[in-house]
Amino acid sequence: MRVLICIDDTDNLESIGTGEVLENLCAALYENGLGRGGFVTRHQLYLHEDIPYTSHNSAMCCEAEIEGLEKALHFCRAYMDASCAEGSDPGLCVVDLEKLESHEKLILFGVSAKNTVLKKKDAINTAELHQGAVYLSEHGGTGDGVIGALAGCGLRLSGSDGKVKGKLHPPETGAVMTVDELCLHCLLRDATDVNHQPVDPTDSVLFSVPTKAVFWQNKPTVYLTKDESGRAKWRVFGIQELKGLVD
Amino acid sequence: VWQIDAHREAFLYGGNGGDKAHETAERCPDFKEDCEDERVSDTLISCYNCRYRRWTQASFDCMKGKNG
Repeated sequence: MRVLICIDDTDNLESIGTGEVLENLCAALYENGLGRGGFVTRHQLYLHEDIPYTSHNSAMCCEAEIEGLEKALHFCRAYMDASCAEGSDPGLCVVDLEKLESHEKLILFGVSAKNTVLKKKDAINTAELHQGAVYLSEHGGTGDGVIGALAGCGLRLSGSDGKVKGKLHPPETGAVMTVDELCLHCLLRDATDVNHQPVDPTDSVLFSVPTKAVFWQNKPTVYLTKDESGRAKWRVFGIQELKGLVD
Repeated sequence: VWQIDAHREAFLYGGNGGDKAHETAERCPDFKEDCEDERVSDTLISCYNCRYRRWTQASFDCMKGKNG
């Protein structure tokens, strides 16, 4: 069965990041024969002084194929109890995609968490609207991480929010390749311009700096822009440039 | 570079102070790279990539020695 797993607020200033905690959780699920996680997406939430985030207020989410919900849920909860950093306020959300009848309220919750200060009660109330499909749990501290964990699931369900965890590196400095070759090299299904317009798969691309895939229409997608150097028709965006384009 | 009061140490240049963020991080004995997914500057040694920065709407605060 397919589920979303999202976690938030698992770290402190000295610990590993939340994305790494989720990757480790997925690796542990696999090693224990309970399931296999896919790529992780990072979803930026609201930056506001009334929200007690550690440094960037982002939630990390992945889709996973699991063998049985109860066992996987028990495992994830125990993993969170054991793995989160001292002083953190961890939250976990698991969404059973096959039982979830409507995406709308979860997506709305996710979108509102990008521009509103939400309370734990808001997350609990929203989760309760989807009993039997949404499993929200606190794992220490104030448990406020449930807000981001639920919001991250909503934003992942939206299909078009955030970035994919991990950097994409060029095969060599200043590499020029076709769009098709870029997608193959980066194991991507899509590359578009920043307005999400498709580009010709045979067009040339300058891939000179590391970049990141954005999560767009449920696919990891690389954004391209016109190359002004004359070496190729397009070039990939650097990570610094992407910050101005995508949260 | 910083606006300092009793509770906060806020970077004055927001997201447009790449050179200042690099110079400051180079001089800072406490600079610590954040995990890869939270680095936003192409220049590795930069306050923008530091574990101890806390993003705000307008800029970021340095949290070293605050609760770190």
